[in-house]
Amino acid sequence: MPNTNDLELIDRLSNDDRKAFEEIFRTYYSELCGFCLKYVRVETTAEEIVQEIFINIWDRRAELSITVSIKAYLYTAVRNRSFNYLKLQLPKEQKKVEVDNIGIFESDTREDEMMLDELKEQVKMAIDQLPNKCRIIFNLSRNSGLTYKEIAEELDISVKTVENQIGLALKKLREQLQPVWDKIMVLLVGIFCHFF
Amino acid sequence: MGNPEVKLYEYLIGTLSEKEAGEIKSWIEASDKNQMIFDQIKSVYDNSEINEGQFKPNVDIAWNAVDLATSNTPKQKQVFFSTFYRVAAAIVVMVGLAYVAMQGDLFVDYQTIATGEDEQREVQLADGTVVTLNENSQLRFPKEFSSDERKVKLVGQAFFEVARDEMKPFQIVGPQTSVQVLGTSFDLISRVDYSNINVVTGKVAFTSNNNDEQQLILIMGQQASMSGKTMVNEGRLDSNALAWRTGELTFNSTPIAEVVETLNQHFEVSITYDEQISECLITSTFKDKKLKEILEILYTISKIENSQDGDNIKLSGPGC
Repeated sequence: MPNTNDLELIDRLSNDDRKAFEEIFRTYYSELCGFCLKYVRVETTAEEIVQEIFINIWDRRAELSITVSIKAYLYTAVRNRSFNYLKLQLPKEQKKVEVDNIGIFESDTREDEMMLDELKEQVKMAIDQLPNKCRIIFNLSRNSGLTYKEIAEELDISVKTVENQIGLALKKLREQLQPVWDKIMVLLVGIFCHFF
Repeated sequence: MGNPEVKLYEYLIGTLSEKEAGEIKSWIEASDKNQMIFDQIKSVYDNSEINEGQFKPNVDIAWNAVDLATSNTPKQKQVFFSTFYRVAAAIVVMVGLAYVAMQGDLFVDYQTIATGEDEQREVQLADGTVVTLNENSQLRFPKEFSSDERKVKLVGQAFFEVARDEMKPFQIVGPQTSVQVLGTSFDLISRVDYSNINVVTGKVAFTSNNNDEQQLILIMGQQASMSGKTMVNEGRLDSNALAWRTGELTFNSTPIAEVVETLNQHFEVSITYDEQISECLITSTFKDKKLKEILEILYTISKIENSQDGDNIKLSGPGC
């Protein structure tokens, strides 16, 4: 149930009150973008989706029917739109320029100074390189908190497919990151040697 | 043990039963190799988390975009650079994060494709226009174009082959500039403070989003760029600027300085050269050649030697 404050805002909104609209926007925009990011992984995409939702709300303000809190309504909208967006990405196979895996990491000129928190960047890049479907499914599992079954339902695929894609992601990521881990090992050994 | 990697992952996300969790723990402890595999999966798991707390979108800019898109100004008639865009451009500050949702697009279903590092993608739009996206770029386009215009948004670089339609000009809105065409092919770099267009066929109007009097009409074989607030007609098209797509680099009595600059951009390396060879002019076409091969060919044609120190390459030679 919307609380009193929510009810008042919804009422003002349906009566064309821009200030109410702006208040709702400013209250929830950032957190909704953060929530959306967990689904879509790209910041500009997350912002666009959330902005579209607000534009849509204003456009339909006269017929809006919110039976839950404004917050819950917005989160549900983000979730639905995010899934719609991801589903559209599924059939497209990306054409990748074939890059020698070892080559990617060797072009890093700061080899000796590679800090361990670059690992997060490397993992992100490796995930970026996964095939569409694989990346989307892996990310949903890792970051949106959905079970295989829930992911399968939302994307209209089988649970087995979800599981296979996650297995594929793990395999590819381990392969891609092997040289990085080797370097970290060398770095760590180097650090330890300094102490003895 | 079916697929240990998946089971290890499930162990980390916490979806295994107590019994299964126990089994996995035994598996890990069974050997050093297993332990290593677990460590790697854990590393992937730890570092793939999306920390949304670090994402701080600019709410003011976003509000301006939404405010604009929902405000009650009457829809403009088909004027290329209407008041709407001038206002929109003034508000869309050079941050490039929030797209301005455009009036009249409320009922149009948009799609965004994005490329990452070293990735290229091709997409065909509803009107037959083909867009090839270079790495680290995003293209936003409607699934179906509206009845009086064709409008897309680009950040990054792409090659466009625009299907001809005199009734519906094709417009590409970027963070800094906009391009308007009837039916042409061209290469476009569209970024927050740098834009560049090379027109291969047809005719285009290249305009600053901030000031629609800053505009150049370019025809086939011409090039223009915009850096900060300065728009420049660069004269002749640079066919090497298309090399990312065609894989072809062409030099025609090109001074070594320019050759070096082109190679630096295309291969993302850092080449310098000795005074001695600065007079050399290179005539050669390289199709899908690796840098190493090109350097060998430079030796064959002009006795230019190279020494490599990581990403830094030095060219030297007896001169030409």
